[in-house]
Amino acid sequence: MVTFNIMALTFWNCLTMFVVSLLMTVSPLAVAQAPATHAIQDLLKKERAIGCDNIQNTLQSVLCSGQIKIGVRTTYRAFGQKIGDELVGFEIDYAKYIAAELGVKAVFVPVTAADRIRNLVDGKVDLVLATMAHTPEREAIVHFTRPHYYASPTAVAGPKSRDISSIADLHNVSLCVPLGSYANIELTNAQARILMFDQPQKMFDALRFGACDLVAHDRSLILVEVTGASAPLSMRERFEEKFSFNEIPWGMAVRHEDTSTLGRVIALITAQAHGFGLLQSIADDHGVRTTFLDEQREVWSNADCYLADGFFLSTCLIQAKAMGDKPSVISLFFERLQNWFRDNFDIKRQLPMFSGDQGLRLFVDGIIVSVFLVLGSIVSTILFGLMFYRFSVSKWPLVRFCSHVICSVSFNAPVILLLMLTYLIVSSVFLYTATVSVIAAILAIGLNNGAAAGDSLVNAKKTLPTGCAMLDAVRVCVTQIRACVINAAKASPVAAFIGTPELLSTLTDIMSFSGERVAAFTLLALFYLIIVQLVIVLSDRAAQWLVLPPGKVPHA
Amino acid sequence: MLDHLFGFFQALTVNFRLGLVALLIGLVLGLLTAVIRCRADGVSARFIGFLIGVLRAFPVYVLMFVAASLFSTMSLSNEYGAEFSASIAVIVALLAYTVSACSDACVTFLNFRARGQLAQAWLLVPNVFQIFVVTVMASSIGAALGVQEAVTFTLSLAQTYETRIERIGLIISVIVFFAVILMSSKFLAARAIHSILRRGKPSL
Repeated sequence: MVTFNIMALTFWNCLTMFVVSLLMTVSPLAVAQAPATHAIQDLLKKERAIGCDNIQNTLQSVLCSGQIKIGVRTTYRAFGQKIGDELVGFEIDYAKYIAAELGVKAVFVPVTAADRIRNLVDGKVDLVLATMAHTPEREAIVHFTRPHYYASPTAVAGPKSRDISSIADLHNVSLCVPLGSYANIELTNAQARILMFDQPQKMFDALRFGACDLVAHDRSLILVEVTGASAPLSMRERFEEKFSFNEIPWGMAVRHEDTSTLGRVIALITAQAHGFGLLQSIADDHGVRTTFLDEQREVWSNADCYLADGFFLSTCLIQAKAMGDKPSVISLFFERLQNWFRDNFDIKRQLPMFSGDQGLRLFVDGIIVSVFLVLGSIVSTILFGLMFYRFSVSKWPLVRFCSHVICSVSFNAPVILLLMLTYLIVSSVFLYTATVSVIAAILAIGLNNGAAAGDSLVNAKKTLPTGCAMLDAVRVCVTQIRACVINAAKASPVAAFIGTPELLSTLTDIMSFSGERVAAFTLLALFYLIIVQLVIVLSDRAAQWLVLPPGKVPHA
Repeated sequence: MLDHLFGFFQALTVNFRLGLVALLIGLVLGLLTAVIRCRADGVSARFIGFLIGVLRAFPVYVLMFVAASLFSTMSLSNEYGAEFSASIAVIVALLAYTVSACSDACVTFLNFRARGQLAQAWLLVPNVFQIFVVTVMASSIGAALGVQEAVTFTLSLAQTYETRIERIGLIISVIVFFAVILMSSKFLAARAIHSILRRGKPSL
């Protein structure tokens, strides 16, 4: 029954599979799994009997062509990675085993997290075996074979010196995450500062060179890249796993129309592979063994899970885990809009900031905070400017000196450092919340630009006769003050650096779990272009109203 | 302490490198757009003027994230590493400022030159120097992408400090350092402007 593609496998894999196939025929377990074994034989026999002249499903096509196209990852260490010309990893070895069980050759097609489902639906692959979590949202598009072949929680890792032990500690911590992972929803709720990466290697590179404080990914990958025995020494010496959450089963997927044919054979093969400990053995080879595999071996070596007709007892199977965003109240309208764009212009963009409940909430919050931040930054810029001017004409020399020093330093300091300084001072006095972060950002941006406005006012005062009013100084340097106000509006997104939940932050959060970047960045760019243009136009009106009529000179 | 100082100055060279690259590209594009704004027909000049207006209004920080996201989908970071692609994103973002500022400075230069006021025209040099200084300071936004420049170095160092007061002290020291550098640069630029204008008085 078991046919191996010997050339494609390593010596140890072959040996393992030989032992497994031996066990399949002689052990008491073989008796337990007999219905599954018979079901596989019957299914393959039935499909082969139809012949190759009238191919009706993918399983027949696979058997007739002698090859199965399997979508696999090529950049996911220990699971599917291309080294030189060779693909290696847990999933690659298991894919070879499945092909061998079907008696065909495995043809590997590289897929990514973003295109694996599309490749399957479009018929470019027959089976996807590519680190894919089983969720109801994906289940609606493709069929996941069960039992699942693997499961992994999301693990958070970081420097050993950082004291972080739960999701609650992630507030305002910079966190590198994979783009489009549903686990990011929980991380964004914790108000971590999210940096996204579409390939795991780039993410770990970013952790190595300090772009982020922590990294969150499937534990399977964190083990081999950062913390486990097979991780590079430079990584495991510096970093450790802080905590993990949300274990999700990984499934292989076939097209819905292949559920009862190819899907069923794959499910039966996987149940046997669990029962005989083959998946544990392959996982050991690649350093990714988890307790899930041990539990599944227990389950699938139990005869009670196999029904007489080759189906499984439903209580032995794990359900898909709901992780995606729930539909928003306006999701229907935006789904229609997305479909209209797709049908008429072939634009296949998603709008998760409108169609998802969490997405919409984050988006609206982001816009409100951004508008408030821009207005607050403008007001604080003007107030700081006037304050510096007022202090510069104080009768006390010490006040004048201090004002001059603070004004010069604030005016010439990088805004990021001013933000961090304000953040440190404010968070030492108040409990650091989103509101406090907005106030801190408004103060820092206002100080930076207000100092420039104050400097202009002080210089303007020097050109005026003694005893002139402050309004006269404002009228003389209204152009410079206007430039400071525009700069304050432009600088407001920098507040994201200290965890202020403005539009850049919230759209980054939405992108992190939806994977939709083009629509999010287009909206972000449009929003800021419009708001800055609005500030330019309104400040121009205000400047025209304030400026002195030609020929009129301010007097004491 | 000496190690930290050495590390800081080494990181500061990254700011200067980023600023210099952004300035050089900004100067080339700024000069080209300035020539079009001054010499081309109404439609082209207005179109370029509109583009410069958009660049001037675009928040540099947002542009940096847009560029970083774009590069992460390209093979750039695969071939040269994440830090390289982050640096390029910072340069692209700074270009929004340098191109628009250099374009404005070049337009002023060309207008004065056309009127024969050479001394005023050559105020371009201190103006460009000012743009360079502002660009070097603005390159600190790279800290948000983890580019190993002076602010990133400072913030990483601050994280190793035990108390909040020590961290605040470190950040204030670096802020003062930056302020002194920038004020000295502005002073030098002002001296240069003064000297150019004094030399050019007869042509006024």
